[in-house]
Amino acid sequence: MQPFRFVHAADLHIDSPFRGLRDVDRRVGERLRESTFEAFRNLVDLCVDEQVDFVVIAGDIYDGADRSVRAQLRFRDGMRRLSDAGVAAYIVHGNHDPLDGWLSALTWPEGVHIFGPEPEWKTVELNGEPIAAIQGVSFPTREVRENLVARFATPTPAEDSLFTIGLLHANVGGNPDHDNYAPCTLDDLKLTALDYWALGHVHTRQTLRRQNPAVVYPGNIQGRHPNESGPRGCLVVDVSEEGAASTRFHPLDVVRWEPATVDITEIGSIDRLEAAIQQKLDDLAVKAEGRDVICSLTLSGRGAMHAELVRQGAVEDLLVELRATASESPWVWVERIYDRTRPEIDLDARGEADDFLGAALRHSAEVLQDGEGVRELAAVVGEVFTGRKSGLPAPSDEQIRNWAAEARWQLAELLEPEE
Amino acid sequence: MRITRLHIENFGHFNSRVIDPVDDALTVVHGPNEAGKSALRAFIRSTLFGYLDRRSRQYDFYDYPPVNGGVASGALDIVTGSAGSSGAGAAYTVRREQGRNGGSVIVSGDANGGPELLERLLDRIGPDLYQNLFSISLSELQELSTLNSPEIRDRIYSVGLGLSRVSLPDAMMQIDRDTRALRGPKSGSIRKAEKELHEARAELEEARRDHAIYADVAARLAETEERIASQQDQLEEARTQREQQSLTISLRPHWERTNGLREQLSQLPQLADFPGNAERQLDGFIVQLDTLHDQMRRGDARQDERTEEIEKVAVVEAFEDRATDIRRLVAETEHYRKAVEDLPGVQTSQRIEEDKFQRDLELLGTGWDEEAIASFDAPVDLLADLEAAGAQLTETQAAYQEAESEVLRRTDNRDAISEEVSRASATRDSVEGVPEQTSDELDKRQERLGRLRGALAERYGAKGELHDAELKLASSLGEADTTNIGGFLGSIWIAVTLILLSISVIAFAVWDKELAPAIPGLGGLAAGIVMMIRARTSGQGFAIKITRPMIEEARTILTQQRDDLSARLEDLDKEIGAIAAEFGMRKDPSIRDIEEQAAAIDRAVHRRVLFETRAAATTEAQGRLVKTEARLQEVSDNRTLAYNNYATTYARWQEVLKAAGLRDDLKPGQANSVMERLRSLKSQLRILASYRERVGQMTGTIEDIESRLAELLALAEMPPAEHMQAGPALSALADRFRTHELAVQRRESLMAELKNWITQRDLLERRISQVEGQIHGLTRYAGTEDEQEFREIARQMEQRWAAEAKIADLIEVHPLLDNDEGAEHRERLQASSLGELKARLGRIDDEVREIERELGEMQRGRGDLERQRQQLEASSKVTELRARINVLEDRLNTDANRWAVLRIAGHLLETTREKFQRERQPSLIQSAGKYFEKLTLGRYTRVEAVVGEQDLVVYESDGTSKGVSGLSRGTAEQLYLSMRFALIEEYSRNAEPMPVIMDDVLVNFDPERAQAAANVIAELSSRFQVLMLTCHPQTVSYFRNACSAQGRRKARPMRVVDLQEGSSEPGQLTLVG
Repeated sequence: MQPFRFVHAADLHIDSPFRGLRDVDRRVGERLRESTFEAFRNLVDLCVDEQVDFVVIAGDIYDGADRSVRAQLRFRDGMRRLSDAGVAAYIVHGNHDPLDGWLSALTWPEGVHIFGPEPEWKTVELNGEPIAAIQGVSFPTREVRENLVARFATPTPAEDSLFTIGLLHANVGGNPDHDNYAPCTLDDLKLTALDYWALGHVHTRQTLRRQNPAVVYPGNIQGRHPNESGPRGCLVVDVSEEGAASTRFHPLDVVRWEPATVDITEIGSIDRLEAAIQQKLDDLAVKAEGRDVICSLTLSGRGAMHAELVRQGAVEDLLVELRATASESPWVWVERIYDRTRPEIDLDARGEADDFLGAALRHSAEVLQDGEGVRELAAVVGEVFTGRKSGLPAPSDEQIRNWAAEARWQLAELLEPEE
Repeated sequence: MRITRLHIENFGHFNSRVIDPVDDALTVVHGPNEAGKSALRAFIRSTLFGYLDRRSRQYDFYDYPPVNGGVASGALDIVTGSAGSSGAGAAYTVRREQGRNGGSVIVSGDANGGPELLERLLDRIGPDLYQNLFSISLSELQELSTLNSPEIRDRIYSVGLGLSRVSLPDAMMQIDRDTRALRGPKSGSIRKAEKELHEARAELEEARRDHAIYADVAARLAETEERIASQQDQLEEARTQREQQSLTISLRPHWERTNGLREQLSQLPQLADFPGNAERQLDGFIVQLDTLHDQMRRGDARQDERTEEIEKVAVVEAFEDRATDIRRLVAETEHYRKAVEDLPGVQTSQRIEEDKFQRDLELLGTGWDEEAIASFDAPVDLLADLEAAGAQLTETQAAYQEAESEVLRRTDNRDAISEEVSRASATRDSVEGVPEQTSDELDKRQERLGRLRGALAERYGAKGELHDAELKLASSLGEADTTNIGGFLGSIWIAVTLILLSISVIAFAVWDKELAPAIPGLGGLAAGIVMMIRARTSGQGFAIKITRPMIEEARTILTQQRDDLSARLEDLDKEIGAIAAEFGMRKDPSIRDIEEQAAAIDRAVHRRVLFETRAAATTEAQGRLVKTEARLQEVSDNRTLAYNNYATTYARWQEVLKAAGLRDDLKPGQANSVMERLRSLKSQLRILASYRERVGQMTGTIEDIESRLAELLALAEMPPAEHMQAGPALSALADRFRTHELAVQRRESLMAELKNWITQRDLLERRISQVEGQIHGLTRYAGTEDEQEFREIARQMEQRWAAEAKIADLIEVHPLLDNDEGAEHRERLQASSLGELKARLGRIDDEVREIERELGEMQRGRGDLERQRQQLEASSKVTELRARINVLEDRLNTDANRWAVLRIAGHLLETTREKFQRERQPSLIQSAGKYFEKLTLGRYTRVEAVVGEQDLVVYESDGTSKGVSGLSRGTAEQLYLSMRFALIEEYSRNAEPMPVIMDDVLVNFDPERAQAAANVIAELSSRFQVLMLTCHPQTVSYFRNACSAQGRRKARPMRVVDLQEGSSEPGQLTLVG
């Protein structure tokens, strides 16, 4: 068999809106809007530069069923570039861009193969000789609760003599962080006798099985919110003459989301805090290798700086200051600061004191001891967390306990402010 | 902090008044109205916290302008540390003078400083807290709201709750404020985010609908583009037709014009080589000929005029050879006029100088004339010598005179000091009975005497203690403890035994028939019965006591104490004996002996110190005398030197005078004056010579010019001029000469013109014959000599050429009129009329316009569709809206979480408050309740505060409650006084309190409650310094009662200061009772 190389990508989510930002400035907003487009362009560039033989895309090309015309045209243009470079593309649609979603009347260039709602085989040829057989299936509609693997055909001897690839958008093993669409198990995949399962749906890159068959999620190509932090990209797969696949991750993202935590315990002044944060941001910039970075900054620990930070507007001022020092691209933009610092009070010990604050802390602990108390607090916040469609969802007991824990700190700071 | 002294320098009617309060107890300051009690309170407040500004609301209460005028000022001596606290505090004096910004304050003592130090000493107590808590007058007490000032309220409602630095209502208000900022009834960031989210979602739906029309737009666009292409072809064809038709129509007038011109040509002559513009050429030659003839005539006439003018020109022949002399003389006219004008003035100045010189010469004295002055020429170095020698002489003379006066002054000084030495030694020697010991030795003896006094006092005390110890020991030896072992049962038992025994005796007597034994039996029976009756009556029976000896250990301790005291006494006796021996007193000296000895030593010290002081003064004066004499000798030597110097300089001066040829008795000033005058005369002589020379020059100039003028005037036959008045004659000569010169120039110019005309006339004649030849040559082209005939032929030839040129122009502009291409147009023109052609063009125009209109509409439609398509293709509206919705959702979630935390915190605070209120009252309120119970003599037993609110409730002993508004004025004052007492107690737990100053706060209390209040205040004074200001003698009595030992374990110290005494002495510290 001829050795060959292909790219496995998934979850492009082109023209996806960003999430998890409380506010953005114009420069960052524009960069984020363009980021999925640019990451896709990087994917095409990679395929052309690496001279791969074909590319497989495992669903969720667009972000929503109402995929934008702009996104479709850009994707078509990308496919044209691949076609011009002689790179074939094999595509399935996922829950975000099912087949019944709106599609423009686009003409796809030669070499683009979009799988339909039923699994089918496509043979890939190199120099007139078949090298691989790809079987894939697209989501006919958004909600596919069926195990699609069961519908995949076992390769015929002819196909089996080639490198076989399964192209599927699915939740393998019931990943709780993602919707449980096209659910299946790793064992289901093992039983199919394919060589490589090119999966999509889970946005964090992971290899569920290295070989026989290799089962791989490449993750999405561009992070879109604080929970999609770190490098994002695709896999370059080299298949040897013996049919062994080896994968190599290649980052494609242009804006990187990174969390950062600064401990204030040893920091004595706002200047030093700012310097410590700036050092962290500089480290992130270096790590991002020339990409723009959006950072969710958490301040933690107990120390003298806490009293400074809880002053009205102090954290906002710090945020403004940090943003003001952000350089031209590549920049590091702090999207928000979580002030998780605490005063130097031992709440448990303070709660034993025979005074009003002690009584308040004891009372708050007593309230949470039984379900009645939790329901009482749920009623207190009920006017906003209504649980109805027009309001916010009703809080869980855990959420109420978290609020109450935070409220205890609030009381301590209010009734016993630090000097 | 305590106040140990008030120095009232200038405040109200106080002037240099000192008041000493008791620094760890109660001071009652008493005085009638207007004695200055309130001024005292104002003084303390003003000194500690500054003088109030006139704009202050309370200014009138604290304004006590000094009666004696000047600036209010004074000082307070203070000691830090509260009364009864252990450890000595630091002492300071706070002095303040009224002025801007509260006045200037200086703190001195253990540390020095200004307002900052004072603020630190006051432990940051502000004036409000001080005034409402520590310095209370009836007005503050009656005004219940003073307890509601934020500072006080915090202290009342927060300190007791354990919230030392925050107020609970403020904390609750802050949570409420923060919660409302997130979500108020109609505002807040949550509501705003909800509204924006709603709007953004609606907008998103709209944008999604727009999206779906993309395919339709693309199809419609393609169709429109096809239709436009077809329509554009049709339009192109119609436009071509219209163009051709328009061209034919536009050719029509040119085509008709060409035809007309060709017809005209056929009727005109055609001559080869006929010159163009022939008629115009002929006209030109005729005009030239006329002009030449005219020029000839005018030239001849002008020649005649010139010949006449030459003969009339006014030339003076006599001036021909003297032109240079006349020009020079005219040029000197101004010199002449200036000389004539200046000469009298210069002559006058010369005369004045002559007179002055003669006068000065006479002043110099005989032997000097003009020649001698001119020849006097003292060498420069001699003059310099004279000046230098004069200056040196003056200088040395002054130095000598100064040295002489210094000697005289020093001599007087020496005499004065000498007299002072004599006086000092006489005063020193006048001191009598000077002891031999020095003052230090005498001081040591005084110290020993002091120790003797101390030892005697100690021995007296020890003896008293020994006596007490011996008494206790003796008493312990005699004392015995007794125990009652009898009682009711014991008494009954004895009585019954006695009765039974007596009955037995009586029975035995009856049985024995002997009456004698029965008598004692009857007696015993009676006694037994009486004992029984008494025992029953008293209920206690009889005391039967036993005695036990004193415990041995107690006795041993008492003995040990006695022995220790005896040993101490023995030591003191020895020390007293030793010191008495040092002073030669008896072994056991009395106090009187010691005082006599002390007085003797004091006297000796006085004399010794007096003697030592005077001796030191004498020594100091003698020292000065020695120094003065040495200085006198020094200045005498200086004077001798100055004199010698002066004599030498004088000899030199005389030598220099001789050398200068001056008298040798001249002083430097006189010699200088002679030299100066000589120099002045020489200078005057030079000026005089200059004047004489100028007069000579001016006279010469005038005479020379007048002589030359006379000669020239004669030549010109003009009248002669007077001496010194030749100015007008000079001007007249100049005018005459100018006229002559102009006439000469004119004559020369006319002669040149005459010659020139002769040459020009020849030229004109040649030109006329040339033009006449040209006219003849021209007319020959037409074959005729007749000018009129020639002109007609020439005009016809012109018409022919014009028609030919027009036809050529038309064909050049419109080639279609002649070429093959235009054949079709020419045929159409030949075949159709203009009307027909225009009608056809109109039809084609309509057709084109219709096609253009349709095409325009299609293109607009295509533009709209194209724009729509581009917008849809480039649109990121849906994505942007989704991003915006994400941002808003995130913002809403963040704010809602924060809101939930605040709501729960507020809820916990509220419920804790209720719980806290239910479970306990703050210690402050309890303490206030106790004070209130004491002040109301038990009528009210409890006070409660509504936690977090600003209200009080009081409870009577039977449990009924009342708000403050339900209390009488006096009782309400007692409640608020109780609150203040409790507050002072509470405050002192965490910080150093201030002295408590009360200004007649008991006046609305009934006598019993006033006494109760005095008791409480007296008790407070054991922990805080208290100054009670009152004008009521009864109030003083209450405090005397309160501080007496009556009914108490211990009497309280108290000082009464009577302001009316007018004395600055401190009041007497009294242990009352």
